[in-house]
Amino acid sequence: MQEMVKTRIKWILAFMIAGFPFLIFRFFEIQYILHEKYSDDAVRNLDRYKDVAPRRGAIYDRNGKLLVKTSAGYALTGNIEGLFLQIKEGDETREILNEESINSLVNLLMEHRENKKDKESEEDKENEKIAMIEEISEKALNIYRRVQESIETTLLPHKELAIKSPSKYALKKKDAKKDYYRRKYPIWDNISAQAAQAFFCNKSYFCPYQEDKNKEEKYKNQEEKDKKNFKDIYPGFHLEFTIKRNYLYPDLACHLIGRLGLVENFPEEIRDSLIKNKGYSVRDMIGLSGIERIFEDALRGKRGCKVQSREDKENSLYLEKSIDGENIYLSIDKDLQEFAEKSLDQTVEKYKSKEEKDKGAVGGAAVVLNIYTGEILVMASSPRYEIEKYSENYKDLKDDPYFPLVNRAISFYYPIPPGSVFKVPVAAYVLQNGIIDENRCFVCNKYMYERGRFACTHIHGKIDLVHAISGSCNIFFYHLGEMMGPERLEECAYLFGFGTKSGLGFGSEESPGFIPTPARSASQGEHWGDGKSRMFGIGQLINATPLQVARSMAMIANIGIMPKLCLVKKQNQGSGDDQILVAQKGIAKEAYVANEDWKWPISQKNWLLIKQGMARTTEGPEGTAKELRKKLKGVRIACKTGTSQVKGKADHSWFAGFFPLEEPLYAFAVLIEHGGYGATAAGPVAIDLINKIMQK
Amino acid sequence: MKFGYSKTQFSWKEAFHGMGGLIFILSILLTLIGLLFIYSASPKRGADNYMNRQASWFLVSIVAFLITVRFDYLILVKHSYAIYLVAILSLIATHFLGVYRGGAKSWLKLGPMLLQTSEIMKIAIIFLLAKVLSDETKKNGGIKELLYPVLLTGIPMGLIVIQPDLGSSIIFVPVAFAMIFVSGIRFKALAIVFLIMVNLAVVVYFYGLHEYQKKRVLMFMNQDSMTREEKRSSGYQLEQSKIAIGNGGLTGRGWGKGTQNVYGLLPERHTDFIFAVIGEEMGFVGIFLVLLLYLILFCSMLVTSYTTLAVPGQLIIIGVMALHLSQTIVNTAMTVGMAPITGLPLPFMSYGGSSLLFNFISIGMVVSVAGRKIL
Ligand SMILES: [Zn+2]
Repeated sequence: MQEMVKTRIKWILAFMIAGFPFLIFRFFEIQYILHEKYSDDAVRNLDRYKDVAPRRGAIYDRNGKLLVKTSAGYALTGNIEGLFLQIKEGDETREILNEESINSLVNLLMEHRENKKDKESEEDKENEKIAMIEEISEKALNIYRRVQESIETTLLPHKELAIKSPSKYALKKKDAKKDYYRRKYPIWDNISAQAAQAFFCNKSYFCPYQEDKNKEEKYKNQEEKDKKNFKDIYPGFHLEFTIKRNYLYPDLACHLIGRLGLVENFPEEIRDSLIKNKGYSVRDMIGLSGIERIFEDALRGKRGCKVQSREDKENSLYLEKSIDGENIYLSIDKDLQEFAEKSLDQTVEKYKSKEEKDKGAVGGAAVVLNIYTGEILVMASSPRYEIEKYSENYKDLKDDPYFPLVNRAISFYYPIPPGSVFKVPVAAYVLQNGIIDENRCFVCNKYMYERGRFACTHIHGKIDLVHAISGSCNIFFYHLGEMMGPERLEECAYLFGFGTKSGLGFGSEESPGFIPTPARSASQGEHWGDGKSRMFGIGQLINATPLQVARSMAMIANIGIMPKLCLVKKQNQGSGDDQILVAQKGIAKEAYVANEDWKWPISQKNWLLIKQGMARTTEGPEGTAKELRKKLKGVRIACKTGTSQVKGKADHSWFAGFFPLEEPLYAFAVLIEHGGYGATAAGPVAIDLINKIMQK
Repeated sequence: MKFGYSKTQFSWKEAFHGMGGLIFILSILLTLIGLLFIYSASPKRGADNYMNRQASWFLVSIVAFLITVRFDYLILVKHSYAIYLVAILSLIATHFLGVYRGGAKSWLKLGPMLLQTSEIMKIAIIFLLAKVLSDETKKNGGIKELLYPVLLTGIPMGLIVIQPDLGSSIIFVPVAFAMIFVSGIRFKALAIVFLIMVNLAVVVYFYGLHEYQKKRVLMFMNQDSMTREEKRSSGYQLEQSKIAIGNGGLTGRGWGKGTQNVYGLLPERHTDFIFAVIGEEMGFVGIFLVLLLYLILFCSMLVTSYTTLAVPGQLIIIGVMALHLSQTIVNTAMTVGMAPITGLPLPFMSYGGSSLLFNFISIGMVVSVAGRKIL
């Protein structure tokens, strides 16, 4: 056998030596023959392609006041794994806050504060430090709570395991914990560049700034710093580079401005299509609602690309310059918007029911627009939320009984009828179509029939159209509704813009309202009788948003021409301000042309009649808002109160119209949901706003 | 020849006098070259780099070598069934208690140390095959007697494939093949074995391979018809490795100066692709010298085996040689696209403590055989 083995060993030796050149030749081929090709590839490999993110456009008000801007900066995030220490006590593990880590972080933040005062007493410093520590600890504990909740939620589907197989359940729990304990949550925004650099150098083993000699001198004690380098002195904290949207007024016009979200948070299909078809990247921000969504294409700008050599990082070549997003100049007036919002907040608070939550006022909205240009100057809604804290507070906001997430100016959580405000379009329609003339009178004895639901608020006696408008006589309009019938009522509502969206592009954020028809009634199993026509005639059954009401008022004021609405400031008359022109050019232009002007001319005579009726609302002795006249500061207005009834709850309070009476320029509508009588809740809000506008 | 050597005597002089010394010195030389380039390929330059860790494993390996040399290999061959059983049990234990590293459950935690149990199995199968194949009472060179050794090799292969560690499993084939070949099987039977092996490989490809592994094999088979996207995913490693080696040219970019290496463009550069780092930084000259060192190492093993008197000893050396030779060929050929990317390390050079330790234990076995006289 030994001989056989020896022969075979020779075979192997022969094979090996014979095979060796093949391998060697392959290397020779690549390293000598193909060397040039591969070294070219290697040089090309040194180029690193980097995306250059554009800056998202800022949002200004009509007077050029900055509302929202984008800023790049640093922020700190934290995870539970490092922020909390695990302390074993017998079988149980307690988790306590890592105070040491927070302390060292606060020391660093204090040292590199941006708004450091020159002379500051030690005491002040100490106080500020304590406040900072408290704030961060509070945030950490909040995160801890949220994380525990999330773990509970993840474990819910496995609850039965807890009884069946406790060890398996424990394993599941361990996995969930591991996952959530490592996730990073925001802790501290707006870290100064200095603080960020110091944090980075202290935290990480390898400091890119170390080579920079000048910066190095900042550290007095080199040895100490070296020691620090080997130990993480801020466990649990992480530095993130952020591009942040800054809201200069936290909750101003929050619904209108809208929220941003990360592309990566979209469902997979939408995300892929955004990336593929629209050139987004996963970490891009994208407008989710309001202005941010409507003007997304203008605001986002265009991503650029640069090439950087790995060998020489200073030198980079821009293949494609990034184009920053366009700035948007809204038609909104920041001061008026703020004023309207505050006024609404106060009024809603005032009419909230202290005893029964669901009986009093819950919210409100105000809209003011220019009747000629269609520019919306005010679009206020109450209550609101802080856009920046949306995701943080989402759960509370969603379950809030006052629905702060709803933009009440263009939408509603439950249908809201315009009530008596709708009598104005009805009056214009019947006059213009000759159904009645200004001399036609009806008799109001409080009830249309002996008793029953068709009632008026007063006994108006024999009353004509002008007085029926100012006195808001229901009986008069019951008769009109009956005379018009469902087809003409429907036509009237459509003519004045009810039942259709604003065309501003709010999409699902906006409600089109609702116009009742016999067919729609039938589909709900209800018969359309004269009763329904009468209710329609006084603005019940139909649902409308404050923007729709304001738009119908603008149409009346403009003698039958409904302006196309817009959210962006229109050409500045003669000012020639370049910045403002930005909003008109490019993509923004397409978006702001909402819809064509809508015409349904009203004769001068009829217009004056309606105006007279609306003026008498504050000026006539029968006027429903005559108490408000003295509040008006040197301006006459045309208006109409509305009190729309809700079963079992307080009425919705409406106040809408236009001003100045002599030469109308603005139309408005104010709604206080469940605010009660029109002239008492919504009226003062509108009057204050009108005074403010006229003072400007 | 009967299997009846009762006693052997070991002498250090004998061991290091001839080829044994050369084998040991070459192994150390290759390890040192490896350390040099592991340092060059370390992402962190500082106290805690890969080289320092590998260097401490190197010291442990030398100690393990010295211990292994003192073992009487014939006694180990005698008890090789027991060793085999222990190795099989440790593989089974790994299946249940093992730790995941790099996607495969092939590591067993022993105190502070992680042990790759397939390495133990490699040693065990070499001893067992040395025993079985040198048993002349059952020999006639025919196909039937092959069934038993093939079965013995197949069982651990199956256990390793399911970890899943295809590379470590496949390496048993050349080891067994070389030992069977040397033990004197007829060429006709050899051809049949070869056919069976090929068929087995096809079966493994279709049923035992994961998608990523299939992709690697496919990619290896048609490198030119790849789309750009495929190149970026599964062909990326190979492409970068080829660029690195080609970039080296005849004399290389210089130690620590290969751009593919320094800027981290070459994946797995301190482990599986350490040879590409050498190619980039030392050029064709470096590659040639390193391959020559390997060739001399394997030749001296063959010479040692040739001059050894006891057949089991001869077979052990052939087994060890086949193990290192096949890994070296597969690993180096892989860097230039002549073999699929399997994740097999380059013996002595690739970063990895467990692997280095067992490399030196196996070299210890070879030197032990070389240094023993049968009394
Ligand atoms: Zn009346």
